[in-house]
Amino acid sequence: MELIKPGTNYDFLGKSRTVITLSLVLIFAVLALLPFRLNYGVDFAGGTEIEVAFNEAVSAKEVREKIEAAGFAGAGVQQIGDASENAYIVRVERVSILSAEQVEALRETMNQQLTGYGAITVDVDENVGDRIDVRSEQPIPLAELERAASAAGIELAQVGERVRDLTRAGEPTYQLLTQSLSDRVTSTLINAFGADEIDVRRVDYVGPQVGQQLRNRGIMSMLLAMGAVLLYIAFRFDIRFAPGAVLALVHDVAIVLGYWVVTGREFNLTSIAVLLTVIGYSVNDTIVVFDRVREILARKNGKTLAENINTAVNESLSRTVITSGSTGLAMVGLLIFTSGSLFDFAAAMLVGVVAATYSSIYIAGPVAIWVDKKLQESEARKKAAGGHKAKRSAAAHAD
Amino acid sequence: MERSWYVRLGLVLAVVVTTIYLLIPTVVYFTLPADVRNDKETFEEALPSWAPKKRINLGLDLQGGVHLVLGVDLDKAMKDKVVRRADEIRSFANERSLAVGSIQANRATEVIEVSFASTADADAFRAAADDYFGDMRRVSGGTTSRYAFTSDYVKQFKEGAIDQALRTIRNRIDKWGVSEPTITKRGADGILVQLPGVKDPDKAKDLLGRTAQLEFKIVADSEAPALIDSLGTLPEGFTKGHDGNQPYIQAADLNALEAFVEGKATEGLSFATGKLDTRDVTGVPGAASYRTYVLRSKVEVSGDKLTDARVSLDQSGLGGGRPFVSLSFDPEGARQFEEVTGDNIGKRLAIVLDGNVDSAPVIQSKIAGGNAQITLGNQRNYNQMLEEANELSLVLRSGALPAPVSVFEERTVGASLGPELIRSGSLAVGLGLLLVVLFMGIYYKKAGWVADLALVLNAAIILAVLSTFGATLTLPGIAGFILTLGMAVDANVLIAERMREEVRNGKTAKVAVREGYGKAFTTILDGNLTTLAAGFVLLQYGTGPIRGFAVTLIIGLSASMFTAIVVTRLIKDRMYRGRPGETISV
Repeated sequence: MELIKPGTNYDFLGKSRTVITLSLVLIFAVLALLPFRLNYGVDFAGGTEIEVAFNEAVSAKEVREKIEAAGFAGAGVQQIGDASENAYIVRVERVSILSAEQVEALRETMNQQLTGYGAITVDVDENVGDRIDVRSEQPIPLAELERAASAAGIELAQVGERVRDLTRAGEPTYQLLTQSLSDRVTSTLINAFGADEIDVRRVDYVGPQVGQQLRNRGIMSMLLAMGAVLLYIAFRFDIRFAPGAVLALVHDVAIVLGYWVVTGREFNLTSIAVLLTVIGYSVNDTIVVFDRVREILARKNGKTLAENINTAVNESLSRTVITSGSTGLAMVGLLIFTSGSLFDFAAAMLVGVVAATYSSIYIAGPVAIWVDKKLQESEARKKAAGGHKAKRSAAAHAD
Repeated sequence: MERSWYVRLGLVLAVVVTTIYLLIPTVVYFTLPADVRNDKETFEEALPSWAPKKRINLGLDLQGGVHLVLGVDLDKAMKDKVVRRADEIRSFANERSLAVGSIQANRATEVIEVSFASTADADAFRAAADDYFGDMRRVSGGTTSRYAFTSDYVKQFKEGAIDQALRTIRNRIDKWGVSEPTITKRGADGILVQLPGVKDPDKAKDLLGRTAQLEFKIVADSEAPALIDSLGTLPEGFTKGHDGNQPYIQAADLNALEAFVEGKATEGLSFATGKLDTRDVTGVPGAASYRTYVLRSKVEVSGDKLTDARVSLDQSGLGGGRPFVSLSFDPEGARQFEEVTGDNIGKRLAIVLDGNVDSAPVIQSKIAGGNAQITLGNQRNYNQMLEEANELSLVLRSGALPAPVSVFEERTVGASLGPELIRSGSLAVGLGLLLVVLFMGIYYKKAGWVADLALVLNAAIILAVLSTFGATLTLPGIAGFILTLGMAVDANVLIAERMREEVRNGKTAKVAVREGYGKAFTTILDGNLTTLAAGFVLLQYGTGPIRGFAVTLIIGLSASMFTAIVVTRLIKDRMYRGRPGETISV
């Protein structure tokens, strides 16, 4: 069986101007929309995400109302899986359980109610969010602290320690421990629907520091991966080929990002895994074509670089299509049987595979030709100006 | 057949047999019912004795459990330390009758400002203090001195604070009895805790976030025999022992041991537990085992009276550089410590952290002034002693200067989700693999079926290598597994396409095989190396589940080069031996 008949000779490069313009438009469109449309998941944005299933039919509206009644305005509630499963993902974006007003209220209450202990300072670290540091000049009974906290409307932890005495070396220091954000959301749901009615399947809480860190490291790792493969190409092939590979790579990453931009699905850690895999896959595709180019150029058949690249693309076309096809087939199972982040993994990967196939044909080669042409032109100009040194013809060989 | 063919056959067979051998524990694990497979004994019973022990573990996202990243608030701990140091400077000046004006610790700038009435006072103080507080930098001007910790000390202090938090957390998880927990440092100030199978995140967070309780209690050696005898017959798995000072009960299961002695102590006494030293003479630890201690119930000194604990080396010449732990108490603690040591010379003083006896040194003499030393036993070699001294100082500091811990990240997966994910994941992998196998077989005919054989071997190798690492299979790992298999056929595709070209150019089957493999080789290498580069970057970046994905990708692509190039070539060399009229099926 043969999908691509031998001796196929499409003129891929003839249309390169239109195709590259189209690709550039796409890339810029995705990059321009990225800041507005990318829906960061809790991994990067921080916050709490809970997956729950109910024993009875419950509407998304009901769930949202209960959550908002507990003070989490703007919570996201999304049904997942079959309607009969009654399963929802509840997402609360706030990362700190304490609002600035609550902290201010506590400060006031403490200084009004707790007199005779000297100046009291109240600190909240926004990056931690579930803990209030209190210092005073004279020791304060723990019960007094608890009372002041509840007077200010702050809910302390339901289990375990509520107030810690960290007094050391004669300086009274205390910590008020509030309920954590994820506990609060979970217990709100359990209280509203009853413990027997609800199955909490999954809880993800990511603090603000971690989200920031993960995001920065994600971007760093993408750049690192791109840098590594480009160095490899420059080293193994020819510097003229590198810009084509770069543009193909940028194109593929942008198109895959386009998956999240268009669908508005959650962008999380698994998405980074997809992007990095696409980087590897894209370069792999480009390299197979360049490898062919190198092989043909070594024959010194007297044709132009453009003709040779076109031949190489045609000769490796069958392989490119078949490998993309088998990678795509491997993803079919994930598309059918999974939901959530794995479904997105497979779908985005498919987009990436198609983009990589396309870019290795329409982008990598034409850009290499264009670079070669520019180099020759500049050499010709130099020749015309100075004109004695015989420069090598850039088109003749690539290795 | 040529000789080299048999050599290659031997190599491939060796790989196949090793792969099967390494997969045994994983297969045994997954054939056991889900509720008993995590029980270590059941698993080991089901496993043949000659089989390896390492197997693939299920990630938290697949079997349920709690994943926590705890942050240690190092800045706050450092500020606390500054405040405490100001107090130490104050008592230092009092002890030596040095005249000082005021001593002020500034939490924000982490600087201690000491002012004096005259420059003469200032000079006298500086002369005495500079050496004593060698870990601080001094900036002086006239009648004030400003002290700040040196950057070396700050670094050392912060590292110490992390170690100490790690130690406390490990202690508690050990006590809780969670099977196969992961507790490691992450980044500069984080601690990663993974508790597979734990369903109650609240309890975990509460337990791990608590500040450690350090207490000093007198060991009740003379009362112990009667109390231990009164316990009567012991349950199975419990044995009696004697440490030379008091009898104890020993058991491998700490929770069972604690439950057994709970409430059985007589008036004025209490039970505590401790880890038994199961190291043999060479220092290799045996299976974990725990023992009881009979202590007096009164808390003689509590840990918050301790201001510092550090490891020092005995430089007197006689000690031969032996490590010891020195501790200092605040004034109230010093008074209590003097009293208890004076009243109990010759008895042992237990250092109890969260109900766990860490050490019980003998009181040699009455200790006044708030500074004590704990020397270690003779029986060990130098490195063991140093290690023990470090451990002990960590324990002591956990009680003295707890660095507050808070939850940076929490991921809990309930027990109901895991089996469902495993089911859908397996279906997805099964279908994906089936489609790829059928596609290759139909498209490349015999060459395709040979490639399929290589693909199945590739899948087995991935799983076998993951098993030997004791790696964790996560949800993204499953996706990575099937994706890798889809991509791994690339090498086979490249070879098959090349062979088709050779056949089209009129080459014989044998030559087509040789040329096809030869020409495809560099392309396969170049292509795979770049994808591997991306895989290694992912491994560096990855946290938890994503690492699993990266590891699978890396193993799969490396293995694909072996299976696609060596294994399939072996089969094709056998199929096409250059007989006349041979045609190749590709």
